[in-house]
Amino acid sequence: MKDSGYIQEIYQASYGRLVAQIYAITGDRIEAEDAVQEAFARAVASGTRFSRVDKPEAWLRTVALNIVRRRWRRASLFRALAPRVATPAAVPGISEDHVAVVQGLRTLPFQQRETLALFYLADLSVHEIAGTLGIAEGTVKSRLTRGRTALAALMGTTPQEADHG
Amino acid sequence: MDDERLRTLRADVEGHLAVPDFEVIGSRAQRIRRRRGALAAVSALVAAAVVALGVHGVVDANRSLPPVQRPPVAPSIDPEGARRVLSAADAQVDTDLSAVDGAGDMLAVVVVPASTFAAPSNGCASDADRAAIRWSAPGGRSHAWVDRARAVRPLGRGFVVAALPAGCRPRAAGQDDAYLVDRGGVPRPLTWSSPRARTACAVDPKKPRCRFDATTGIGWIAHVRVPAGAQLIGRDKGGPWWVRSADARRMYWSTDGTYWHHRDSNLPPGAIVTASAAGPWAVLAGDTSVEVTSDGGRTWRHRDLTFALRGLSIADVDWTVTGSGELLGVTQLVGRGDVLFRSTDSSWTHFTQVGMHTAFGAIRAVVQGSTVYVVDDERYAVSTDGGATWRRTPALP
Repeated sequence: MKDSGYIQEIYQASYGRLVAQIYAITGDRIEAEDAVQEAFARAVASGTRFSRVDKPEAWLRTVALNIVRRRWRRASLFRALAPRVATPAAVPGISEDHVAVVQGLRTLPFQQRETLALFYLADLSVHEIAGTLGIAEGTVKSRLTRGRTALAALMGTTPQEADHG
Repeated sequence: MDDERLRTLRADVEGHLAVPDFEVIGSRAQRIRRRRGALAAVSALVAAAVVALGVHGVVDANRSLPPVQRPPVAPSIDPEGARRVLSAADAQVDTDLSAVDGAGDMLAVVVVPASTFAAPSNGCASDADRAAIRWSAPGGRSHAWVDRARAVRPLGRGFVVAALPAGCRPRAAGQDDAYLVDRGGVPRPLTWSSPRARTACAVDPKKPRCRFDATTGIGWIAHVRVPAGAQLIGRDKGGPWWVRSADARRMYWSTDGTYWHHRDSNLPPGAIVTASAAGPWAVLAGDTSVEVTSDGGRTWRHRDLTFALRGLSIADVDWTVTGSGELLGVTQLVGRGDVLFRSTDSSWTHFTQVGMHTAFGAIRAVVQGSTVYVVDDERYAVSTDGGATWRRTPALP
């Protein structure tokens, strides 16, 4: 099938990149892979409509992002009642530095995590992040600043200014 | 320092990640397609009214014929399970399985991770499809149990919850069959057509022939025989029976359940067609081209909605008509998920978007008479004025 072949090419090229971006938000590899696979499945299910999307990877990222956001929102309703005790699944083999960064990210508010992930791992500009998340550019900048500061405090380093956006 | 760590995190993760076979995506896409297929078949759910007159009669007959030869409360239902289900972070409402009955009650089927539950006790090899069934009503009362995922068919008052798939069948037949869940929330076991039956049937024990297949929603219903390969849509009191072909390109109707008229869609092959009916109204519709009857099939007219839909972004619309003649459409917009819009006048010259859309979930519109339910993977809402105003029901898990 032509559409399926088109999506398969994108899948091979983008799967790892998208999982890495979502992983920085969820801190859980399985959850990140699940969201990205669901996004690809929705692309396949949408048939020819997906082939008309201008930026397929951006579309997939937005879908995956919405999936994790929705789960996070839903989970937050019940977290107080039943704290999740399961240990998040890690990506085996990554450096200790990166394991520490992911653990640090997990302690930040969700909005700061997703903003940092889109900025540093998806290489989106402040303008693009504002468009993706449906928030003002000022809010993006403020979340970036707060997220960087909080992360630096956790990691015992000094926050730096961003160089793109 | 942290910036650098963040920037290099992606490459490190990518380098240590195994890309699963694309078949994984294919099978998930199939599931989504089935869900969308249900959108077209939504009308089968609408059967609330139909079934109110049809299956309800069968069920009543069954009640008097002792279909229940086991304890009145099914043993597999766990009244304490709701709390556990609600605490599962990954709980998702399955819109395919959830249904609304003719009395406005909702049966939400929630899929939760297998780890939420103890090991199965009924011999089913797979534990991946555990689900909670939560029964609730717009008024706010609700009951909740834990059970396995099953097909659910709405009745006039209550639901038939299909039996488990054959692979998950308990060792002894008759231990864990289909249930009739009545309005009071009491589940009553129904019998199987045979221990090896591949589909779930609600059967009159004295006539051991499948009367109603709760998995497909097809069968004999109050002496009405649905045309071969077609699915029942619905029937309001006093109105015709409506049935659509599997590909939604043909609509059948009958006043006596024996002799069937039909009309075929004139849309070109390959066009996405939906077939919907409620009360005297029925439509065979593509994106902007609609064939409609408002008098129970006696006369049909063609409407081109291109002009009426100006200003709305649409693609692949699933249409639903209500019993009072409002036309509702659900379309999926890239980046915005499913969006619902409705006609604002009786002649369908103008449509407006309804503020009922989800992030990326699939919306399903279900109609019973002039009451419209919108179900997505997070909640459902009820409108009794053709979609103009909505009442949110208590949040689903």
